[in-house]
Amino acid sequence: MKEDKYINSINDETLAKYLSGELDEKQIEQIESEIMKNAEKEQEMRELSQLWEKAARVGDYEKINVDADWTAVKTRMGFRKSKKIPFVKYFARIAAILVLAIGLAYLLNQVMDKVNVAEQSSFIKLAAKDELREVVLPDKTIVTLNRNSSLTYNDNYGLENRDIILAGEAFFDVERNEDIPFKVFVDNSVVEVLGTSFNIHQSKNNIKVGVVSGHVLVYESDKKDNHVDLVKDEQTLYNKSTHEFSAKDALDENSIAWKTGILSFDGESFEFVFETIAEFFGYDLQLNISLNEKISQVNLPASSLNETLENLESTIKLEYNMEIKGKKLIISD
Amino acid sequence: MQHDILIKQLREGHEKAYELLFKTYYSDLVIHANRYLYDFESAREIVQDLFVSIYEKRYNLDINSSIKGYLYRSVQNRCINFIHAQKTKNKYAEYVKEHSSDIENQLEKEIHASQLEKALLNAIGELPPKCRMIFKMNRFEGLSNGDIAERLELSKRTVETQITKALKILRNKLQPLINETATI
Repeated sequence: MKEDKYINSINDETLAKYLSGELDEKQIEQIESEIMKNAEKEQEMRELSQLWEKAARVGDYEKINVDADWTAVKTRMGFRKSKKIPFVKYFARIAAILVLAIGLAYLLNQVMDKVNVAEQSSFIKLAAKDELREVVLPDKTIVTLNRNSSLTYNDNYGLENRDIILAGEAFFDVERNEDIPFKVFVDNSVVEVLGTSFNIHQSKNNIKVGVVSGHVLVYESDKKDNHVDLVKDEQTLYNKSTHEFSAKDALDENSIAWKTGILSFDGESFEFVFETIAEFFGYDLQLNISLNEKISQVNLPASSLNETLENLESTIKLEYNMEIKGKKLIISD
Repeated sequence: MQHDILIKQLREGHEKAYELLFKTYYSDLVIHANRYLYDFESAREIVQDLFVSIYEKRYNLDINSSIKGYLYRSVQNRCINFIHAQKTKNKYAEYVKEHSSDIENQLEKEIHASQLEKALLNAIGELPPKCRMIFKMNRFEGLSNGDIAERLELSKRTVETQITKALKILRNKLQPLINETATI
């Protein structure tokens, strides 16, 4: 670096260095006196300094989260969050309790095995294959089944029991009924509720429960002191092998992207964004560059990897190279 | 949405009308307030309070001029009150008090200035990725060129070249707008 050298000409780079504070006192003095002699340079300098100063300030625009702040203001104005729920029902939902009782379902699974679910007419099995499927159960509870998921219930559902066996992932909006608790059996665990809405995702090692409305108590049936108390907008992860719950976490909106059809980001690093997208569509991510830059608020359709990436590319004017090879998403410069 | 239809809907308390108003002007107003307060959180609070207050007083909502002007003026008044309440000696507030007849004029310029800032933000967003990243690290995060070079494992010379490039592109794009607002 030749910082202390006498400056021969005032070119663009010199001006940039001047603004960046890269010059020493003598050089600054020299530049300023030369600029004074040249009206055109003086004008250029004035414009550049304005841009330079303003650029530092417009960074604030990026800190403003209009949607989040609108939600806060809307609440203060007294507008309901989304659909209007009569007060009594709203209150009732808050009081709903969800119990994740590990171990109980084992018994039920045993029973189910014996009666052979598929062949018994007293059991109803609903499955979703390539598309989402919305089901309204006899008690008006609404279940949205994710792809490759299924649920099973028997013909006493809504009369004597509200038991469901879930394989895969589903979103539940449970009709409140204090007399018959709503129970979902997943692997060797049970989710029991009165009325609330939540998402259950079953994977090889974990069961994830995310609560959209209601108050939820999650615990192991054998060890009730091992519990997590969840409210609206919280989630927890149950590890099937260690039998432990993760600390509760803010509900990840993208965890129900399969239902809402929208993946949304706001201020996360691009690395995180690509990881989330790849994971959502079941791809592995290979990053050939570091992506520390933060994304601004964006909603992407979660229909297919291709479409999501195309939308990402057009909304934020990305210039990375994105390549899909088999089950791998590769990002490079 | 047409002006009087919007006003009518605001008076009637339609959520969509408030949402539209909020989403259109919120960022600009926060920046506007921040220009007086140099305090981002208070700026957000003041603008949010304004929207809530418009809603609460919707039955008596009286906007004859443009909604935009009304919002800017209200934010400005709230900022000045806020500064007085804080008993902070603020030169700008003093100035405004003394020259209150110039406020309208000043307001026009402020609105203009915020247009330049928006255009600048867009133009920064359209810079080539590497150039944009480096420019933002300098201006938004306040890092020196040396720090940026270190973080990105580039030579300082490369960083300087990219900054120069960014300034050149930005000036070319925004020159007409800068000169319109040069007096501010």
